[in-house]
Amino acid sequence: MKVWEYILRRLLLAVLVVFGVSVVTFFIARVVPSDPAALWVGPRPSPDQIAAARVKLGLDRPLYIQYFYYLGNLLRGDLGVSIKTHQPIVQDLRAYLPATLELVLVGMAMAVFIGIPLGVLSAARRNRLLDHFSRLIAVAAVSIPTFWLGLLLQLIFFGQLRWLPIGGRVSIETTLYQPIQTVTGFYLVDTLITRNWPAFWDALTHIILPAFTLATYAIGLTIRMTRSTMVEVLQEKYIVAARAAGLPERTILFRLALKNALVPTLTVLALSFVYSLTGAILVEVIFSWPGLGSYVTSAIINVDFPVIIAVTLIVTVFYVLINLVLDLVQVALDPRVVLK
Amino acid sequence: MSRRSLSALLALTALTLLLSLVGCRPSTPPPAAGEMPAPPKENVAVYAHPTSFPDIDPSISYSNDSAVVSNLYETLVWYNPPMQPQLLRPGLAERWESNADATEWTFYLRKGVKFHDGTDLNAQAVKYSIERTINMGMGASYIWDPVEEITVVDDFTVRFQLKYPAPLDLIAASGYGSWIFSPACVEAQGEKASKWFNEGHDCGSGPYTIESYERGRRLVITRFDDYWGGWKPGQFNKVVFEVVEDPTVRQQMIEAGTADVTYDLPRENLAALDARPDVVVYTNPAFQNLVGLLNVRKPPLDNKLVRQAISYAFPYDRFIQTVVSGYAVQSHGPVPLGMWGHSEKLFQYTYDLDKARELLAQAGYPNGGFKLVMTHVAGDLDERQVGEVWKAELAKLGIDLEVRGMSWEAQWDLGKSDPMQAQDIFVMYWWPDYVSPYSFLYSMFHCEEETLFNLGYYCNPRYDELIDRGNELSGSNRAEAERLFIEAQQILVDEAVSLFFYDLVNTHAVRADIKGYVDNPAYPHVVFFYELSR
Amino acid sequence: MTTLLRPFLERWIRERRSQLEEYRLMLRAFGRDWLAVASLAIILLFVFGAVFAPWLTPYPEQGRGEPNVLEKFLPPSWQHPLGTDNLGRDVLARILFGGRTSLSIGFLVVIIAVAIGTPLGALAGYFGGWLDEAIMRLTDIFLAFPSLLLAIAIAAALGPSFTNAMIAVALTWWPWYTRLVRAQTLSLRERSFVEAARGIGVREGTVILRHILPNVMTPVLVQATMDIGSAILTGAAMSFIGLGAQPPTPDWGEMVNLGRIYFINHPWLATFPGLAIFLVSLSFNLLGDSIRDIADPRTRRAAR
Repeated sequence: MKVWEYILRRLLLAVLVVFGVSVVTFFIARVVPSDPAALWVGPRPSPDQIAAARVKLGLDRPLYIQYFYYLGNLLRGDLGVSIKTHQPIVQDLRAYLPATLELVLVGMAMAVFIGIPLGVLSAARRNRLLDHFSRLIAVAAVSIPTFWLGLLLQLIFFGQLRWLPIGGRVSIETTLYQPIQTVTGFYLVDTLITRNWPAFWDALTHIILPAFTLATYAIGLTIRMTRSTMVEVLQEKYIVAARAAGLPERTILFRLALKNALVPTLTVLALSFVYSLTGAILVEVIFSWPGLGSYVTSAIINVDFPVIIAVTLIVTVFYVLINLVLDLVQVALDPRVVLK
Repeated sequence: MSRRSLSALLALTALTLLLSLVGCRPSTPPPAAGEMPAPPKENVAVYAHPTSFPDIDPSISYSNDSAVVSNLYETLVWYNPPMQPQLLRPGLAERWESNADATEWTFYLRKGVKFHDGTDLNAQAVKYSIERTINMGMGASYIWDPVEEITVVDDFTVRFQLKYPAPLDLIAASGYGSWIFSPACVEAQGEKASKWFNEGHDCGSGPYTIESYERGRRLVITRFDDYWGGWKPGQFNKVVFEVVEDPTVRQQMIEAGTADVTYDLPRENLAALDARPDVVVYTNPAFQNLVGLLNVRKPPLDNKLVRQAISYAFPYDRFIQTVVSGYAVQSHGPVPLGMWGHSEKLFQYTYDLDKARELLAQAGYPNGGFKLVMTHVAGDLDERQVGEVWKAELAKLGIDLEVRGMSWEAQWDLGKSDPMQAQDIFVMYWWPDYVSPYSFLYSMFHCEEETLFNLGYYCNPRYDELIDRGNELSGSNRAEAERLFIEAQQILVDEAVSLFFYDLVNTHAVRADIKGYVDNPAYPHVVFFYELSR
Repeated sequence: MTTLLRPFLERWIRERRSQLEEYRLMLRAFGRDWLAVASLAIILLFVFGAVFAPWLTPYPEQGRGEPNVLEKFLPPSWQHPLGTDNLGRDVLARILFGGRTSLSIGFLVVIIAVAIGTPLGALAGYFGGWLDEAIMRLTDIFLAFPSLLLAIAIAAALGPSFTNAMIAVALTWWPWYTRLVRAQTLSLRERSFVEAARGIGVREGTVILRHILPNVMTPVLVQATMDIGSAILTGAAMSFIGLGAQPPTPDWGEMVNLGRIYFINHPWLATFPGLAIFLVSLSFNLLGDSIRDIADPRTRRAAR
């Protein structure tokens, strides 16, 4: 019974947070010095056009009424229309969101496959060279300005070595000669399903640099978290016992110890997933990645507030959902949490 | 951590630095063989375009989207590139005429023109297109304000009855709001036509039609086989519009040959780019200028002498030669170089601080001692540099210039507020909706009851009379209209109501193997791919 | 004067002896931590450079923004060790002066965040009940906000400027301190000295000021040191997208943004200011790590 109460409470809280965010962004949007009606018409609106657009967009109504209309539409899954492109935002999101999610997920995968092994080895070889090295990587990774790292990577891997493309999601040749059939919107998945190998390779080479740039922060966090929890776990009695029993080091590290060190690491990863959704803003601009970040950046330049609100809401919903899941998982693992 | 990790840290830092410096050599090596794109299977051109295309509905498009739309649709009349004997040439109309006072215009349409949906061009389609644009009231629809009624005379003759005299030939040649499209095609989409267009469809009669569209990223057009102009070998079968916001990336693309046309590259790099055997940089006057509208209502700029003084305090030549590397021309008044109505005889303020000091002393500010606020669009580097350079010069006169970068929306919003609370100097670019000096002279300087684009708040009835008369005559007696427009501009220059920093120069980097490229400033940054071949 | 102060000082020292002893141990541990000292040295070097910028460069007026267009895009040389920028200004001078904005945004953001977050956290933790609930739900909302986006939205609303960028980033930062302080306060509230103070009828406000706040300051300061690095990074990101300090005021993030346009042919424009951001934020992170380890008696002894 208690557990259900807790879950219900968390759900209500999640709704409250999303509602709060929608209120705050909506009102920030209306404080901004700009005239959405003028922007709607075009770069050189005439006074008549502005007046007509004001009525059409409902901007002549009081603010709280506008908000209620907005909320009403929101509940029906309608995020409104972009002031600049006049297109339904939901439709735009359907194109841009998968691109960003793909980028973030590949980045997270990099964090897992680079961060966790480095963290584990670092803990296993405490205060040895490898440990110093990976701790250094970790602290450097959380300190480096992503936008600067992106530039350096472009310069090295495209400018000098020509190993990887400088930006974009797929090359023009792919669009023209091996067009990707959109199924999920994730190009790596779509090309795999349709067995479009050249396009798959093309998409893969395009995603490496931006995903890595985006992942640096998460990699740093993962190394740190894995290392510190592993250091603790490795001092536990059962590990000492396993060592004494002569189990191979690899089994001890990756089978026994890591399993118990994984929960906090995954929590950190889940949270940096959300962080990356906004971190993508900078990375997408640098790598011309057609995702949420590029979308919201041009919206910011144009003060296209319906888009800014929509993207903020989407990211918030991700944050709230992931937190909710994390909390619920914690309850599932240890129901005593509820009694806290 | 310890000494060892410190040395590792130092090593890593040094490595990063080294790598970035190694990577910094200005030369870019030729792409490795494996990286070159596969030889094109058909003749494809790639246009690396610095912005996305906000709205490609032909009735709404009023922005960079014109680059795409101009290849899909056609207008009744085209405006010629500069240096041609005729201002206009036939488009979908073979010829046109007006009555003596330019209040009734008749267009005779070309026969045998097909729209992409297979229907034929006729007078009804013209009437439908223009009326849709007017009724939607979006974008540049206001340019059709003079139109009272459109009449279908016969299948290939359409007549416009005007409320007042207007140069309807120039209006019909506009790159915004004057496109003709197939009524059947638009009607088939009903209410959702606008959305349908922006999903990557068109209803035009132009040489190309949309093949695929990834919004904000890439748009591919393919040739329309039944185009009335026919096709010759060497012309492009497909054109890719690739949205690439980063100028560095665009430059690398044109150098590597992965793009055929691009613009808006760092000007410092243009000379080196042009020197390459495989790239040509075309420079042409743009019908666009950079102005700094002065707030004539608010002290101290309500004083003509102070306005003249600060006009003498901008180092026009030095700025143009160094900061923009010579890719601009100092303006003669508000109508830019290459456009009709431009006059080299108009007075130019030059950089002369002594003169400026003298004028300030006359105005009662011998040592300056006041502050001015200049607003500009935050993301625009040239506007910003104008501010930074001017600030240093004005400081020598004891004037403190605050350079305030804002979003265009916020800048404009402030400009539209009470002039006494607004900025002192409003820096912006101006370009015409349709090619007429009136666009410059009316929008920025005609009296306005409610501020729209007259953001220096200038109001002079005599000036208004001159340009209004000029506009009425520009359909019937263009030479006289031009004379009136130039006379009016002299007033603006004498009164120093604005700084006319410079007229822009369009620079387009084009691969050397592309033939037939001509820049037409009437359609900014539009590349008419039908005219090109390889 | 000294005689007057003496008894007071002695009492104060007596009361705080254990705490002073603690600080002495921390200081000694710090002195032994190579990396922490090096980090501090780098930070001090940049702070020194920013404070004394006008005397450290032959081109102070260029550092402040005066153009020198005839010498634009000079590559690094003896006259201009880091080259010159698009308006011919010495990049080293720009970086020295840029430190003033870029470093102060880091410090100020954290100071503002602490100033907002700490009292709220203490109030929430001490009084509990509906106040706690209200404050915590507020932090939930602010934490759920994508911080960079919120900062961008606020900066867009207020207009791009140094102050607004700072306010915007600080507004996304304070909830962390509220949570930290609240948790600390919750445990302190149950401690005997606080209970005793309440028992003898000391006013609530006094209890918070005299007994709660001084005891939460150590973790808050440790957290603050660790945060300055990220605050500088976020501030730089804001300037990178044009929402920070406005030109001609120099700022590292802004310099990287500008240098991006000229990156192929004139890479020093973006490389050096970016390196400055990296070094400073790295140093703060290393320093923060060390201070955290040192402040915690367990790790202090275990690690070294």
